[in-house]
Amino acid sequence: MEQLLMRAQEVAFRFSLLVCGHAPDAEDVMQDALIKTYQHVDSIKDPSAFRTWLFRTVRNACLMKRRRRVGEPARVESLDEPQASDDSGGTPASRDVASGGKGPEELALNAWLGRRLRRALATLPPAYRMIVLLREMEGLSTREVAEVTGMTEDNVKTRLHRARVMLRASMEAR
Amino acid sequence: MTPTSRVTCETLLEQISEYLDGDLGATTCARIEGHAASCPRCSKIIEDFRATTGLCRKAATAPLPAAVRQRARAQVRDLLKTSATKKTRASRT
Repeated sequence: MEQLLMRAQEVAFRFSLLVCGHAPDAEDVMQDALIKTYQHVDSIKDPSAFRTWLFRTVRNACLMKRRRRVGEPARVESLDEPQASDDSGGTPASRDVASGGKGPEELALNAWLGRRLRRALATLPPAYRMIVLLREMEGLSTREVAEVTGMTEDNVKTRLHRARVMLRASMEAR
Repeated sequence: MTPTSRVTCETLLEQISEYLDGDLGATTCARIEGHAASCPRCSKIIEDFRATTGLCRKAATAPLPAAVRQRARAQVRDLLKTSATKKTRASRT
């Protein structure tokens, strides 16, 4: 049980930090995921269904956190909709994954993910980061990502492709 | 792209994700590989896409930063302890 709950927290922290971008929020989301997973644990029968349930739960917790955050920037970015410029190949507007700080927590997070990758991910809009995280990092199938995000499978594939193109460009530029 | 059409740098870039995800047929894959073998630029693009995916996968297997992990474990143990105490009290009443 302890292992399962730790795993749920790891998943929640990674998702929240990378998609929503704030370490303190990520820890709150992690705690939220812990309690919800503990409450849900008895009804877990299919590990795959549990995985999509967990990501949906974490995604919703991130959305709530973003809505409630004190001092939220004037333009609130959606986790689901990329910015208007994204589809035209323009520069994404999102820069909300902190990665340039030098405090001990920031350094630990950069060491954990790799500063280069973290910075490259920061150039993606949250909606695209979410797809990269679920598909590339967590290894969910296209169908599972579609279930978590509520998008069609075709939409997931299109966004993943665009995100990969943007990520490559960003990595190359550094 | 139909199986008989030629792969260009442009079509390769359009189809690279489907290629890497194994969503294309064998004929199309062979055409893409043939083009990449003779096009250093496209060969580099494929290599870069694979490297980025590799970095993402590697990042996902890294354990949480030590301080975060410590706090996470403490929260798990607190929750399990509180829950066990509640169950014990409930069974006594």
